[in-house]
Amino acid sequence: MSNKEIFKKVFDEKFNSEKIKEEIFLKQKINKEKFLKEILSEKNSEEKIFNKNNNKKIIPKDFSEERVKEKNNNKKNNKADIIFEEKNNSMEININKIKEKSLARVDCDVKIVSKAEHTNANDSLTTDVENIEILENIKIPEDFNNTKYNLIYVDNEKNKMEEKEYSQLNNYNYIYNNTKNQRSINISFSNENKPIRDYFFTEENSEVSKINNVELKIYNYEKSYFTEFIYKGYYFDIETCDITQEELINLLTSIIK
Amino acid sequence: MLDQEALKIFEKLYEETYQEILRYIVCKCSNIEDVKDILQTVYLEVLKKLEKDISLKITKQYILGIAKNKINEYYRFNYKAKIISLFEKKDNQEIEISETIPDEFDLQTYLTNKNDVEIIWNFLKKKKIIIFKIFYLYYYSDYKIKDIANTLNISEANVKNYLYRTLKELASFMEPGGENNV
Repeated sequence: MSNKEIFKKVFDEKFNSEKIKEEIFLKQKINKEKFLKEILSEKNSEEKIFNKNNNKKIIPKDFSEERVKEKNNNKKNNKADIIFEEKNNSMEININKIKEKSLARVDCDVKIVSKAEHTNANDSLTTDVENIEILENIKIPEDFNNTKYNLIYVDNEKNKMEEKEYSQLNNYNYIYNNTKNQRSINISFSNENKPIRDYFFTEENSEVSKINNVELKIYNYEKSYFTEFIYKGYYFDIETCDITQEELINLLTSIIK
Repeated sequence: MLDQEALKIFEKLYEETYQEILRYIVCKCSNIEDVKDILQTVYLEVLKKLEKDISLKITKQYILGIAKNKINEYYRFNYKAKIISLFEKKDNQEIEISETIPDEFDLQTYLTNKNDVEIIWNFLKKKKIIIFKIFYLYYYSDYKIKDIANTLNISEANVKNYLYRTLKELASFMEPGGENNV
């Protein structure tokens, strides 16, 4: 190997375009979730200020006459379509078809560390997750040929002018995919935090599914399925792309045993 | 999440422009550790633009413009860019070498295992940013010495000096009994 080939290898590994692209998508996803959280917290604090500064009897915004009417209208308009139903002794599957997702722009930041690169033995989550049995023997489509393990860190944002620390481990992220097409399964989980995600839609009126007595809501949007649930103390958030309903159910039943 | 059409446009843009945008950021950054961060910020901005308007005509020049702004923003908000003199006296001694750098210091001899990539990367990272840029342009982007000198606004002699000296140091660092193997 010539010096040129050696240095090429070094730069290829460190500036790997595919790896960086994956991180871009993951960052985009996480940024949006953080943005939505901020909006919700701002909305809540506005309502608190409103209530605190007014001595008159307050009708909370959500119970005002207009709001109730609005909510009722929304219920009619936003009701999810069930596109798939299946019921047997151990499970009841209802997949809710989503017509429109809400997306938002954000500028916050995260750090994504591949599991192989991760060296911080002090993270309380690390030891637990190394031994996690839930994801052993999960059923992934046979054509999937690639697996990535990431750790998602968020900045504590105490001072935005200072260099970011990315000291807070938010969740783990396992990505299974077929590198020849866009088929993928993205599993985010944590036993401490709700995984961050980028999609946002009303969950009102959606049908609940049940697998081995664990409740979950499953949504479908275009070629993607989404679901989140709590199982054995772990928050799970799963997003898939271009997999079949059968593959989705196989995946879920292999996790929720 | 992007819809499939926007995703396809982004993937194509990314593939077509990645190397050039990366090279631009490497040449303009003040710290090599920032490159990946800035690069991701640039393409996140492209994603946002596509999300807003899928019909938007995004060209390489447009992305380079975003990169320029992001680099300015990055160093304005994160920390002030360090100003390093490119012309310290000790580096100005010219060495008689040809246009290309010969493999006089054959690194292959000292490679031992898969950690070598990390060792070389960490060695380069600790060097002045200008050295990192020269190595990147010379070995990865296949730039000629003259082009590197023009791009980084330094003399050709300096480019050669930096390449020669650093290779020598690296070989010495990696050889048995060298700093890396002590």
